[in-house]
Amino acid sequence: MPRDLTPSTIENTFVLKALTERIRLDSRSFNQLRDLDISFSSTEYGVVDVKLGRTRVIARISAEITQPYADRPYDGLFIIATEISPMAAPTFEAGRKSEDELVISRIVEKSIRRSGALDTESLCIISGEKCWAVRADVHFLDHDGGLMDAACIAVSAGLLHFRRPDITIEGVGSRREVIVHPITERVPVPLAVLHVPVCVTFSFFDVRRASSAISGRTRNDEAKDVDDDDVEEEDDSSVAVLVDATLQEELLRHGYMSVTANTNREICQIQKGGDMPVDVGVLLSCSEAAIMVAEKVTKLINKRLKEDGARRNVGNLLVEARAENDR
Amino acid sequence: MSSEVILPGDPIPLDSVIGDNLDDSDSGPVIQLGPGVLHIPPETLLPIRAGTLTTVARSKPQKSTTIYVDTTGGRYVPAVHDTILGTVIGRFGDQEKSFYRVSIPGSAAPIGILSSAAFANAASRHTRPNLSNGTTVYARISAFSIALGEPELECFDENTGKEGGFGELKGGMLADVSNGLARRLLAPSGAYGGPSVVDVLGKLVPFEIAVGRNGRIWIDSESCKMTAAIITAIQETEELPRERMEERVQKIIKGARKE
Repeated sequence: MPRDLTPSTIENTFVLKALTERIRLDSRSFNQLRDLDISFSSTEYGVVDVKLGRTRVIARISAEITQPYADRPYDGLFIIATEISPMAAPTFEAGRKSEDELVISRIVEKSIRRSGALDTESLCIISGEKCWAVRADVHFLDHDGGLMDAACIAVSAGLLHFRRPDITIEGVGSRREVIVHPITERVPVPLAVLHVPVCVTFSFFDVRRASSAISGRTRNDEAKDVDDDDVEEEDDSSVAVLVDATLQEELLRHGYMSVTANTNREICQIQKGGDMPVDVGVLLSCSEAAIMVAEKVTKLINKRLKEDGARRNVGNLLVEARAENDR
Repeated sequence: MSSEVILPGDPIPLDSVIGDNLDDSDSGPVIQLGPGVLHIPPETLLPIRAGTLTTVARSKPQKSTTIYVDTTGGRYVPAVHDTILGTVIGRFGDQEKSFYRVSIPGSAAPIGILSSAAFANAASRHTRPNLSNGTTVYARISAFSIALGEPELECFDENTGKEGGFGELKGGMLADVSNGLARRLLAPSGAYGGPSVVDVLGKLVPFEIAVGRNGRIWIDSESCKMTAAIITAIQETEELPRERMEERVQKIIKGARKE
């Protein structure tokens, strides 16, 4: 019988008390990401394994030819499937969407599909008749917080890594035929990825509320204390902002905000949850931090892509044999 | 007690298992099989999971050898006499006779029942502890069967009837460890050869620890920082060989002291 993860009072008090002393349990600083590891499948295109600390997510991109929607004849299809199985954590039930799961799939959807990371018009083959349907399946293997961040990175990296088979169209009018060239025959084609969205989740802790709960003092005393010695370095001294929370921190946080950004310094999506109001200043500094993280993560993705490309490109064949080369 | 790393299907030579722990009487050697070892009659023993093959020689009640494959993973299955760390998540019953519902994280039977009378000094209604939701208790499983479903818990020492460290835990911090590590930490000192991580830590810094067989530990020490460092030291060094474990533990504790 799966059960909700209920953090105990001890954990709650300790984590908050540690945060007032600016300590995180895994000895990270507040704005530090966990170790991020991205690896691509050695055999297939578009299979990415992302490890963010102990959180692990695998994304698999696939493409097939279908008919476009009648109202959008020039657009291809792009679907992201994020179903969380009990493999990630026993709290997730198979076949039943929990609220957390809904939020995660929603954020991934907003971050990647609705931000137009994949140019769906480029997936059109014959308008109104044939188009590519790109599908991203996200598998959550281990849950230690930050599922949406890991999922977002995995899908973004997967789209960059994926290659679809090359096609040619023969004939004219109604007798047109689409010929799909298997990847053994022609060098496969990358997708038109317009930008690389990276999702970063910030967790907010109301430290003042926490410390008064610990010491049993009133808010007024606490406020006086803060005035005396400005310990906190945040703009708002009562809020602790944590980047990339672990599962424990996620369960105990008072509020969160997921910001999706890219290297063009664009904010693709912001989602704020929890019952804690946050100042505008914090919001701005979070957005800035998200852009920094996005730059770092994109750099890593590109580095790994390059490594993978070099490994695959034996004898420079992948470059020489490309269809768009001059003959 | 001896141990070596073994993979499923590796041969287990009987002679080495029995060793010199052979009974003088005419009857053959007595071997007890623990988890992870399959017996194919007449005398083939086959490991069916990867881990350390552990043999324990016993002399009482008769000379025998216990052999099993020790692994760190797996879900905790409750067993009577095991100590666990759980969290109170509810209460039911009336004033006279009430029970706590205790969640046991990591357990195959995730909820245990703790009677409010199952504490030391609980004879009178007034001396019984009043636990609120979210309280962490160190308890012992007093009854469990798969058919029963929910393990029954007790919060007193079964030999003395005194508190004996059981009951509500205040302050400190909980952390997750693997099942195997929890088992190792609960084993008598030196049972796995050499000092355990707790022995090493104990020489460096004073702290309190409670180990639940469900893969949870509770630590309390002088400061938040030190408690966090001790937890890191225990979690990080699980798979390190002994010398490197000692080195790492010392480094972590030193780092926590310095700042």
